[in-house]
Amino acid sequence: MLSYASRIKVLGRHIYEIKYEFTPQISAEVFRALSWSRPVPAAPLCPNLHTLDWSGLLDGTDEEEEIFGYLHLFLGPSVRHLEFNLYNADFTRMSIILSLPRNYPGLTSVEINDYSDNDDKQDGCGTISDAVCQWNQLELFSWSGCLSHRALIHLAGFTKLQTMMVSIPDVSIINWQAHLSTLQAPGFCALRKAVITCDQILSCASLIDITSPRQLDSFTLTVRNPPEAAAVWRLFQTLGTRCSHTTLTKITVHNSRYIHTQPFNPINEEMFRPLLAFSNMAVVNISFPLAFRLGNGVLRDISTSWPRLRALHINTMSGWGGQSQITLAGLIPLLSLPQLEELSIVINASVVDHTLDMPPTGVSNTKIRYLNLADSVIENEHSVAAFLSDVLPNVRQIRSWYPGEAAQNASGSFADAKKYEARWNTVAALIATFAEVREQERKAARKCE
Amino acid sequence: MHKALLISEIVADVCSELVNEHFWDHCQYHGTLAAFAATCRAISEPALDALWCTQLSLAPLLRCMAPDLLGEGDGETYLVHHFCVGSTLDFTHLLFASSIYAGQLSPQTGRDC
Repeated sequence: MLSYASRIKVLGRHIYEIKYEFTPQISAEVFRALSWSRPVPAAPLCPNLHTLDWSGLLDGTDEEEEIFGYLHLFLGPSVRHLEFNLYNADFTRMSIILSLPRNYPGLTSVEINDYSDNDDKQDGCGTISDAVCQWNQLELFSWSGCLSHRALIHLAGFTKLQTMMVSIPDVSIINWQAHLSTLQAPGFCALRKAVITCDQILSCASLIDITSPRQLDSFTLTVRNPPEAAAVWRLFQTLGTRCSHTTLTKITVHNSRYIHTQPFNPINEEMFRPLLAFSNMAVVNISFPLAFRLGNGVLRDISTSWPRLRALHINTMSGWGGQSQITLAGLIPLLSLPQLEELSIVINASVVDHTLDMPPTGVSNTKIRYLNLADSVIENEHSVAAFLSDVLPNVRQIRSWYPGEAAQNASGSFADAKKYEARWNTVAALIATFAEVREQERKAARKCE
Repeated sequence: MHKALLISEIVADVCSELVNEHFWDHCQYHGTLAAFAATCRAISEPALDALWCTQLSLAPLLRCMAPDLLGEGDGETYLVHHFCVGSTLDFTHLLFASSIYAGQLSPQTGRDC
């Protein structure tokens, strides 16, 4: 048995498609027996193990609390990556967790799964934060509970931390500055991927403002409270100031609410432009309960500033509050981007500013098959379809005016929303037909030549 | 056998291709790797390394214990075994003292999987 145990390098990795079908439950008695019978009490059962997904290993068991104590059976000097559950942790489990940094300082990657609600998390926050403060070599840390200020600053000081998925505290409290003084600059110097949750968007902006995440490639922010447009602008400015303009390639910022909080205070082009500084931007996903007032000028700048853009999603769940100034012709420079394959923005297609009697656009994006146009208005579905079948010949589905909040935010009636939605559905059907006709005509023309 | 297969790095590459190709079908790649490991001694070690490298559960390891430790009843397979406090390198030899009703292995997971 031990000869096979020594070959195991990854244990318990949770693969949902396989797990439930093939994995039997192992009772606490088995772990107890293994623990008693270890030939060398301090030696790990799998001496070459480097990744232990303890939550995957115990998935489905009702004896998790008792079994957690046997974690030490598997942890040894070779283990680098540890993942475990915190949900419903009792005092014993928290004590074991607190001792992990001391007993296993070589851990470089720690993922803590926590499914409890915010109130339940409060008890564990202090313990986990204390544990974080004892680690010094982390390269990856993930936990959805709220870190203490001290733990956050400690993480910021790591020189090898590349991936961080955390919930950060409010930085407006009075002792924040005292904690800041302990930070050895530059903070988050090796961070490549940041997934951050916070109550106020300004907390994240302030954190970035005092650090130097120059290696940051992917930034994801979830804001619990609806932000103001000015705060979003501040965040974009801070990112533009503190992050490398060539390194950051993916940005996702969102709040889960759909009803716009400040319909008369939209995100405008000036507020959006700091993001254009990132020349290798590939994925942009923005979703806030705020109106957006962007026009063709921004799309033109995007097409020159983000030549590697693959996906652009701007507020397609709550809509732009009826304030989009982007026209059909304004899409042309954007669609000329060679790698663009996902597009979700709002356009004003009530006026068709590029008709069939104009010269061909010369632009044809064949990668996009699905559009989400939120509260995009449209009058003449046939002329719109004629244009889109030229520049987006492979689009087969257009989603619009969903959910219902998009109509409410645009100050439109539910009946208007249904009318526009039906027109966009017609456009999607027509694009397929028109594109086939165009292709047939091209083939005929080639034959004649 | 071709001489190239005596180079352990090449065999390791072949094993890793087998794993990658059937990553979502553990039974298939486990079966293939087990068959590959049984072909000859030169291949056995790297193939067994690949076979055991990633384990979703402890069950395969427990099934390596002595066959008479397993019993069946009520549609389930039970592991009934005896342990002493660390004496030898192999758990299969750690048999003494009182028996422990130690665990349950689901019947659909055959010992050969």
